[in-house]
Amino acid sequence: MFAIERIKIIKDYLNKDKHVSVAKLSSLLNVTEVTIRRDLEKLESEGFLKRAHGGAVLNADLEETYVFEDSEDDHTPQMMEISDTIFHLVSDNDIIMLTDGPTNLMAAKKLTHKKNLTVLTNDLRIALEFSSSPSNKLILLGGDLNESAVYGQLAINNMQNFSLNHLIVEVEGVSKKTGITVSSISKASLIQEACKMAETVSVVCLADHFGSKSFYRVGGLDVADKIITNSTLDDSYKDYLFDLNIQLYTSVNIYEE
Amino acid sequence: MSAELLRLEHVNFQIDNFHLSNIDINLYENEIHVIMGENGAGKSLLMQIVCGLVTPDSGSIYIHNELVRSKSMSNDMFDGVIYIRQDATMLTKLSIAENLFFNNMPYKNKLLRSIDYDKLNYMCQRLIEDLDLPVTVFDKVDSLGFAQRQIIEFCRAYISDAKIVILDEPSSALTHSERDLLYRIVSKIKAKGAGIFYITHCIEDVSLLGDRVTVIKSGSIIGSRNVADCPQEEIIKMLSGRYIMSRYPKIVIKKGKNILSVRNLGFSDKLKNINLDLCEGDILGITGLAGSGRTLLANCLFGAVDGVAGDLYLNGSKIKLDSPYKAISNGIALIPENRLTDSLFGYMDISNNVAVTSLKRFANYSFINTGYMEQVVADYVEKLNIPQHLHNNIMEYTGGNQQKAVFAKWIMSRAKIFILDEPTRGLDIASKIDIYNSINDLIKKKAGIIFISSDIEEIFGICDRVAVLANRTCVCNVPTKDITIEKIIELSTGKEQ
Repeated sequence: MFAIERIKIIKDYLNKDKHVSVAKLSSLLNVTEVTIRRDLEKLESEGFLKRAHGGAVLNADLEETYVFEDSEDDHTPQMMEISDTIFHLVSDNDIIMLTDGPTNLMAAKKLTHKKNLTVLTNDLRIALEFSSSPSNKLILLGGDLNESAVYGQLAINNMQNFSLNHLIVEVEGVSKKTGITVSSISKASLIQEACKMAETVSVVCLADHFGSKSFYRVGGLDVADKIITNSTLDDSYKDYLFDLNIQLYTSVNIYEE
Repeated sequence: MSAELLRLEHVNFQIDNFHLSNIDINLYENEIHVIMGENGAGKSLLMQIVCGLVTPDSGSIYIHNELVRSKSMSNDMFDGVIYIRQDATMLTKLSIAENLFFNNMPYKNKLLRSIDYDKLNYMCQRLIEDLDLPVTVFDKVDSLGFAQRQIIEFCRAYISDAKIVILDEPSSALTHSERDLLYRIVSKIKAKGAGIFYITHCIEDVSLLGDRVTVIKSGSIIGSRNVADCPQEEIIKMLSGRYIMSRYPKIVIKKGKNILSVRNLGFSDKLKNINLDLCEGDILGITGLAGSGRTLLANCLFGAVDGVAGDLYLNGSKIKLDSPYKAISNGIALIPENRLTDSLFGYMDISNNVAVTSLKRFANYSFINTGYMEQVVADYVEKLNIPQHLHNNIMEYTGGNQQKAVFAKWIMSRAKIFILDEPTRGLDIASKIDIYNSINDLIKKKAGIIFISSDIEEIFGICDRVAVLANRTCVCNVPTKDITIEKIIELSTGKEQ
């Protein structure tokens, strides 16, 4: 039995039940209680749990750091999967644009490891990520600042000086009826203009947000060359998008090396 | 102007996930109408409808300009049609003459059905001389080789009075000289006034024999042309059609070290001189026509074939794969073409089917920790979007879910080299997408994939390199960006060099 698997199962249990007992784990995983205690120690040192009488509880503090401003449920693992796929869709030396969004921010953290990228963005936080990455070039658009991203005619004018290999936009809604939608009209305009300047347009959207619509329409689904989402996407969308000749990346994290 | 023998109008038929849609096709007297298309395009199914073995869901069939009433329950062949296939069985203990004239034996006495053997042998001898066949009257069928038996089968078509003759891939198992003989026989059949549907993959057949050519793809007719007006390039273009490769989710991975090297692999007279290399993160596509040796190659690489010549190197060290067990222990996985017979245990539930290659992990002395095992299996099953109900029998799942379960099995066993033989054929689109994306996950994490498929679109969409098998060897092995679909099709047809 691999320790990694044991740890994974313990984590799953904790996430579900919030607490777990050594005795129960020992019989489930068929190892001695000593071994379980060692596993729990390890997880405690990582900050995942706090050991308590006869078992352990999920570390409440840990949950807070993963909450993002606009999410009702915690979508972090799905965002992680998607950002990993984005990483593998960008090559060194590419000229890309990342629009604002939490998933793109996570992707940006990973993309700093690439070499010689030219990155255009309207998101302050993404710009900040790249500021500590000397091997890549970052251009921050100027314009009306709204929370942590810029929009508006100024930003659009600014953007038109550039031509991109790859545009990666994060959106709030994708549906068969209404197409691609975002939460504000200025965001929609910015994205519409950006699409005109890119060779390839990738639309990033959580699987849970398919079938729902946000307020403002960017365009129909044919705007996208690629759509990057999670494997839990409804089957009917998988069929629909394949028929529209859109490359559908339903990120899955399954293989353990 | 020749009379029209047969016409199909707006014929539709659906079986499982495959649709034959809106078929309009006809056949005239004295004509050789070549039918071309990829494996799985629907050619054989169409021919089964033409000869009456299968009743279409909608549309009309006219024979000699008369509407054929569908005989509802009876799926007998229409009168006047003969269908010659490659897998035809002959009566091996009887003589050639007896096989040939089986349906029109000369009787001494009709009532007693006593056969007039003198007459029979005479008729057979006449035929042999007429067609210049390399056999004698008294040869028994079981003394003939495969190709020769095929030739005899074609002669049956010549002898019969059928006006509508269907030949399904007649030339694929023949050598050059045997093909000449075939052409002679076919020309004679045509001269008798019959109309021939000639299914082939071989473009040469079209120009040498055909009067008209029709290309069928994914159940629809792409186009019909007069051969005289249609250069070979146009046929190839019709075959490749509107290839839309851009819908496959391909990612770019930096390749790692070499994990598999194949040098000079050969088997009997079916494969020779195969050389391949596979690195971490590679997806190597292998394609070729039916019978070109793809599945055989896959089985050789998995240790499932005895008597394989050549050398195999795993991570640089030479290795002899003499059994699948050894292959699996070395991290090689095979997902075979025939899921139901070769990949699944039909009497077990999904949990056991997925865990079967990884049982050591859950073993505890002589027991298996099923609670733990099912937890791990559940995780994999959920990630691949297979409906959870671990104790359902595997046969209750759809084809797509079964195939995903097979993937789960090998991914769980942490194989490093995955040999996939037609992994997505016949599956629903959602399952295909799940599988393509799982393959992406595998290569991100340094696995290597050998992807065997007859769907050239798919090969182009997913693979980094493609190797084409033809004439029992590998005729090319290049990056997909350096070759075109048309060239692959041309190479597959194996123009004799």
